[in-house]
Amino acid sequence: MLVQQILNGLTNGSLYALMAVGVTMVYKSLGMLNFAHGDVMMIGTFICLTLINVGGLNVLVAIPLAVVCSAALGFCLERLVLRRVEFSSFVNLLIATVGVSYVLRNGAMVLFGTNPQKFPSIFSTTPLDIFGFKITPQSIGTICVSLALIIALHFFFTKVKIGKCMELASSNPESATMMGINVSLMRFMTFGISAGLACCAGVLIAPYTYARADMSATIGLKAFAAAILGGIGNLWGALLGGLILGVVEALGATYISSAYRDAFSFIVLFIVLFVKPTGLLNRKIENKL
Amino acid sequence: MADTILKVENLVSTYGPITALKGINLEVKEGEIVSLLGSNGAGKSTLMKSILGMVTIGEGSSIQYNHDGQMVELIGKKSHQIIPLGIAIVPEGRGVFINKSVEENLEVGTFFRKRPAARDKELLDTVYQTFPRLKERRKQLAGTLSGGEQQMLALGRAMMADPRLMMLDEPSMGLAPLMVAEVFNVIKNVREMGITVLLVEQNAKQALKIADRGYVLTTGEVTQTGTGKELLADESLVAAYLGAKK
Repeated sequence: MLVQQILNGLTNGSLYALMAVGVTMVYKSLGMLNFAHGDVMMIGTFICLTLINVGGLNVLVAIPLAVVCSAALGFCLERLVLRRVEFSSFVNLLIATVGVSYVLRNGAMVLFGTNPQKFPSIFSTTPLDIFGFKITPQSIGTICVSLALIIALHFFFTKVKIGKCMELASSNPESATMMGINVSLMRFMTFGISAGLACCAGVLIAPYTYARADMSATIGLKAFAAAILGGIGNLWGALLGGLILGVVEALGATYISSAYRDAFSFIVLFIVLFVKPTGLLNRKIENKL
Repeated sequence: MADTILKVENLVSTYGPITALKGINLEVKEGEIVSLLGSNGAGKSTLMKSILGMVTIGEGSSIQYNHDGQMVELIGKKSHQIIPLGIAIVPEGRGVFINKSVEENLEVGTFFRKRPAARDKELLDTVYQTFPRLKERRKQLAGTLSGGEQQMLALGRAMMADPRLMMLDEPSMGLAPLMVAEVFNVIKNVREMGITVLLVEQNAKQALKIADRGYVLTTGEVTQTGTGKELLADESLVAAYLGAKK
C-alpha cells in the first residue's frame, strides 16, 4: 500500500517537477514568477487536442507540433507583453503575467468551451502488475518522459554553448552582457523553452485531468510550490520539490484525509521554508566586495 | 607612429535625465596603455559602458574602433556585436559568475571570438601560467575565491577572449596592497602580449606609472591629458584629483 501510494505520488510529482522547471527558469531569468505558466500549459494541451481531433493527426505527431506552437506562444509572450513592461517595475511585470493568465484562460473558454474534453493518452492505461504493485504504462511513461526532459535540460544548460549562455545571462545579466552574450535573446529563448516544457507537462497530465480551460488552477500553484520548495532557480531543486510534493500529497490523501489532499503540499512548503528559507537545494553564496 | 585602435569623439552619454559624459574626446593607439583617471562619478565607467553599447548615447557622438585596419563605428551596435570585434572588459567589481567554477568562468571568455580550438588551449596555458592560483582552484566555484583571486579570474577571463583592446574598470579596487601590485604587473604583461589597454583607475599613481598616456576626467569632461610622466609630475593635479601621497 505504502509503495503503491509512493508510485502514484511520483507520477504526479514528476509532472509538478516538469512544470516547476519552467517556473524556475523564468524566475531565474527575470526574477519573477510567471503566473501565466499554467495557462500556457493549458493552451498547449488544447492545441494538441485540436491537432488530434480536427487535424486528424496521430498523438505522437501532434505532440511535437503542439510543443513547437507553445514555444512560439512563449516567444510572443516575451516579445509582445513582458518586454514592454520590463523596464518599468517588478510589480508591473508580475501583474502583466497575471493579466496574460486571465486572457489565455478566458480565451480558451471562448474557443474551446468550458466542458472538460477527453484527452488520449500516449501510453496504455491498463495497469500492469510489477512485483505485486499496480502501475499503468502511462504512469511509467510520465515519470520517464519528465525525468528525461529534465536531465536533457540539465545537459543543455551545462554542456551546450547556447544553454550555458542562457544560464549565465540569467544568473548575472550585466556581466553576461559585458562578455558579449545577447541577454535579451537568451531571455527570449528561456520563455520559449519554458513554454514548450509546459506543453509537454500538459499533454502528460491531460489524460488524467481531461483538457479543461481551468486545468492550470491547481497544477500551476503546485508548480510554484515545488519550485520554491526545492529552491527557486535551481533545476534539481524543481525536480526534488515536485517529487516531494507528489509523494506527500499521495501519502497524506491516503493516510490522513483525501479532502485535504492539496493542503498537504503547502504544509510541507511552510515547514521547509520555516527551517530553510532558501528552499532545499539553494545555498547562499555571498558576493565579495 | 602606431595606428589608432580607438577614437572617441564628442561623446555624450546619458542615464535617463542625467548627462554623465559631456563631449569626451579620447584616442588610444595600438599597443598603448592609456589610463583614465578621475574621482567617483566622473564618468569613467560610463565611458567603458558607452564603448560597449550599454548606455544611451547622444547625437553627434562617435566611437571609432579599428577592426582589421578599418575604422568601424561602434555607436548603434550592441555589446554582443562589439565584443566579437576583439574588445574585452574586466568589469568593475570583477563581475565573475559566482555560481560557476573557475574553469567555466574562463571558458566564457572564449565564446565570442572565432579562432582555432588550439588557440583556446594556448591561452588557457598562458592564463594558468600567469595565475597559478587559478589553476589550483580551477574546479572551485568563483564565489568561494578571495577578492584578489576573483580579480585574477576576471583578468584571466578577459585574456581568454584573445582581445586586441582590453578595458579594465578599477581592477585594484578593494584589494590588498600586494595584490594591487600584482594586478598592475599583469597589466604590463597583457600589453607585452600585444594587447592594447584602456585602464580606468582611482589608484592614480600606480595607473600613471605604467601608462603611456593618461586622461583626467572631471564630472563628465576631460580636464587634462598628457603622458603618464607629465601627469605624474603635475603636482597640483596629483593633489587635486588623485589624492597625492604615497
